[in-house]
Amino acid sequence: MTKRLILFISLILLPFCVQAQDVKELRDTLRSSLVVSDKPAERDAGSRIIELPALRTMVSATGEADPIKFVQTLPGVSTGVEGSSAIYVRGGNVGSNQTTLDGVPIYGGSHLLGLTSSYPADVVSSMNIRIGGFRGDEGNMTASHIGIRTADGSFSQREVGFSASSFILGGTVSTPIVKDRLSLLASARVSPIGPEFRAVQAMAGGALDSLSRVRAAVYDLFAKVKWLRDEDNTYSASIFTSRDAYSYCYGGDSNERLGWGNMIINLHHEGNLRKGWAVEDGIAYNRFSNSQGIVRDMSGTVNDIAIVSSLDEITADAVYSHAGTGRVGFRTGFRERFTWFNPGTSSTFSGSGSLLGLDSPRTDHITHSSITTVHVQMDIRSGERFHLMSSSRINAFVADQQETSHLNFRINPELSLEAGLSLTSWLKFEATADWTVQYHHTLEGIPLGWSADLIVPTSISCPPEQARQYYAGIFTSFGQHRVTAGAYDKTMHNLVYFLDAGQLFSPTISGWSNNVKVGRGTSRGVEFLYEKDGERLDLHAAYTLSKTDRQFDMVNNNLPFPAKFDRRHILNVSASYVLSDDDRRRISLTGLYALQSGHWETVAAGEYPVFSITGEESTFDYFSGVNNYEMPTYVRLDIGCNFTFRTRYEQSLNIGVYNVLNRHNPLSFIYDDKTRTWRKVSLFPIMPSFSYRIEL
Amino acid sequence: MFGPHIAYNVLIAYVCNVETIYLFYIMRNIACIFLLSLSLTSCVETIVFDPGEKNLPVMVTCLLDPDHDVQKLYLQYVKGKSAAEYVPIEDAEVYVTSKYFVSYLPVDTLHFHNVHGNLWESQKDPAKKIKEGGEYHLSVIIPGRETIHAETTCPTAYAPALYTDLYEVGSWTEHSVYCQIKPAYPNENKQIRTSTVWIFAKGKLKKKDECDEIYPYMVTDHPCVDDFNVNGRKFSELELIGDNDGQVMQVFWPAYENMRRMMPDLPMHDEFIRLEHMDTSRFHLLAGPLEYPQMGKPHQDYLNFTFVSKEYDEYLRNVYTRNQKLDHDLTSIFSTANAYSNIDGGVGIFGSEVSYKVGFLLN
Repeated sequence: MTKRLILFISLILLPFCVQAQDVKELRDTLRSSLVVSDKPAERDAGSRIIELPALRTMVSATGEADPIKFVQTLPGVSTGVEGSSAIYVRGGNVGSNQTTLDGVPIYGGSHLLGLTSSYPADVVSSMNIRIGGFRGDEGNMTASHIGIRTADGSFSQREVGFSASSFILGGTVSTPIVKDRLSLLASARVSPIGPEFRAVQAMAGGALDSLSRVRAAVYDLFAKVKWLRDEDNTYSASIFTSRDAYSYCYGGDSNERLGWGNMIINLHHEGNLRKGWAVEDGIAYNRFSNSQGIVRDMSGTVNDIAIVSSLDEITADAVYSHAGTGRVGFRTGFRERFTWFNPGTSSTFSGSGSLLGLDSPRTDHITHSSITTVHVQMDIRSGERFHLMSSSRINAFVADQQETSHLNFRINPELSLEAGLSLTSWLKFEATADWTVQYHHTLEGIPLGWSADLIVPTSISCPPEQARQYYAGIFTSFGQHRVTAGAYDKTMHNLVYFLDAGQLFSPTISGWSNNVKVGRGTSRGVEFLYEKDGERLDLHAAYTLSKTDRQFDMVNNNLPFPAKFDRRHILNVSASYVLSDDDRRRISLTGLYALQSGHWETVAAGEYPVFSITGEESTFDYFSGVNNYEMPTYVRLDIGCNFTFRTRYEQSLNIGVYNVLNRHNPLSFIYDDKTRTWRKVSLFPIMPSFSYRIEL
Repeated sequence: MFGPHIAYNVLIAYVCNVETIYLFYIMRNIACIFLLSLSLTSCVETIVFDPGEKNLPVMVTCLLDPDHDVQKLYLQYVKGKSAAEYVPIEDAEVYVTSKYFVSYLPVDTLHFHNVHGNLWESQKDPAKKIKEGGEYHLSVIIPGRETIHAETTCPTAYAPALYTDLYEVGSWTEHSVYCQIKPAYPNENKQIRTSTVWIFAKGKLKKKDECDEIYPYMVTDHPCVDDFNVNGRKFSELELIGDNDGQVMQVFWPAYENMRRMMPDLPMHDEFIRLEHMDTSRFHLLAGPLEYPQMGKPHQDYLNFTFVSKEYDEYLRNVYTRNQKLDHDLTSIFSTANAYSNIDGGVGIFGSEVSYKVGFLLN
């Protein structure tokens, strides 16, 4: 009989302390708080309970439930622009988060301009999200770690599945190669968005709102082979690749292009050693590249400018763990990560005008670095009442320098603490403290309208980012209700800011580090989360009140200014109500309301006249400071309905309406050089959303 | 365009049961709704970024000129993005303090009074006339604001003299079509270092009854010319404009040909040239476009030589460069740097200039 293959997102978004997700539990022998529903006494500091049904029925622009979108509704998490999957956790930068796929970082983790994740949810078996109390093997980030573990192929029978949603078509195969020994899990997804847009454009009879010649290529491929060598040893080899490439013509004289891609090859081993020890080790290769470019004719001068960066990594690691006596658990390990960066920009000019001959073509500026990490973690538990986690890491960093022939060598320690004390059976106090280090930077100060992140390496002039974060809160549960309230304080050092965004494309970019300033950031906030799990009605409400600043020398007159995605108020309320649930079908209604303060942009505060030697007068903008303009409040309401048909082949249909209020939240900004004005691009007015899945 | 959806639905209908067939019809309708809904996407709206700041800075524009008995100064607030008009400043105390380079002479103060709106004028006092080489300090005191300061040094200048070459063309002795400039040194045995000078030509390019226009390009062989405003064209690419009186042109064509031979293949500058200084024995200058010679056509064209202070020079250069970038360079729109200003506590320019006008003939 065809075995049922779970095609729905089978994510179990675990509380922040949880690791073990498979039968052998080789990775984390500590007592887990694997939570699918509600086990409040076992949840650790800063943890969130995300219920699988809520995630599945979530309405999204793509129609496909995406775990990152759910993460964006958690307290302490600020989002990027409309539709993007960028997250800014407790004041950190988007590059301060790390998403790993079986332990390998994914730097380009989204498809479709951020609408959905680049990794197929069908191959995900579990997902861990941690924003405090980091574990020993979590490193090279200062804000959050999203750890994704992939499932294994079936060892007993073949299973095939298909899925279709508004923007993604996909298929999955899980099959034994050698029964009970060797299995294969493979997935492929592709987006028909390019042909769909052209079809609609053809129906409309021309460019849609000045957008024409839209091209899009979006796909991802995943394959994993798992070998059960014996009871104590398993081996796996996996490959993952994703690609997003977009281009469009705007207004007839402008061509814009954007793209990014990942390639991950991972070899992994899990084994049981003697005397209760277990080991996980592996080696992986990871490549990420992204680019964004514009070709535009400005008064006869054709400008072709672009931001391009690439990053290659080879990582080897091993983690040894011991369950101990049940009261004390122990983990230790090491990791060697060799990375080479190649960030850069380019600008060329053709046609007419004084800029001819001032080209700045992109040249390679490869920087090599090595990070060697040794980590130790200890867990202490006293029954159900008290637990303490302590992890430490020692990092040795070496990199070559463009400025000199000397090597950049550093030793950086890290420390994380997590404690929980159950005062009563229904009230728990929890706290975390983290001192973390990160060895790459995501440049801040990228110009208005650009979305590509320029990842640059640590250097002598740009030392590693460091963060110090404290969190304290209480957790209580009563009946179907759970409430978490807490406050955090975070300080970040060695943040990097690009001084003059206009110089980003000049020949001086070859020495980009000469155009940046190193500074600091602070973030403080209170977080509140309420959850109710009922028989019919589920509620989830998260509110964050926070303030995040940045400060750099020679920027904004040395005064602090708001971080770009510092949103003072963030409110997310979601609800799910089951209309009917019987042997044949299940019907439920869902809704999500998001209300966020606008993010910040640097815009001209005023203008004043200037004149030339010939007496001709013109007007120049006056800039008073950095991030001086708060965008309008972000508001969105989504509603949906989920049908589950429990037939021979279980089927699920989600239909909904995204952005019911038809609020034109901005996605990006385009500059009209004819009128010298900015124009806001909103991609998602009110629109339907659907997805369909079938299990064969 | 519906192919993928239909094929998929057919496949599903084949392998699934009746309820799936039902779903097939739902999905088909949903697919239609979805595709049509794509036409609702990509909304583009003009957005005015106005932070609504209240305490915008003061803008000061003042160019001291020794040739004028009364100096002018313009005082107003920077305009907010959404504001309709500039707000002039009429209540302030404005004065310029001078200190001559000769130490024993007294320090003078030139007071300004508001005429109307943003226009302020200085008192008329021959004893306090602006002098070349003089150092001046501007103070603007506005109630409720910090005092605004600026400094400038009046440039050193001298009147240029214009010469024209004579050369033989066949049996004719003709004037050249370009100007030869030779500084008129007050003492030819002692050279005086001049300030930076900006030169442009003005005249009636077309009909005599139209307003004066700036000549669109200039060419020079001066060794200290700044190439920041070259337009990428060469002198040899020029063509003649105007009405071609064949008979007249037959006579004057050799003169133009001779000029092309005598002038190197020099780059053309947009509207003006900037010289670091004018301390050369002589140099050549031509303002274009080249025009077919017309018998009996009067010319009232002139060259304007403006010697500028360092601050004013940097201001002019910055204004030109930024305007060129805004017109031709996409990366300029991302810059958040303000334009050059030597006003401490505000924006604008406090500089000084000395100007000379020299008439010239093209033929």
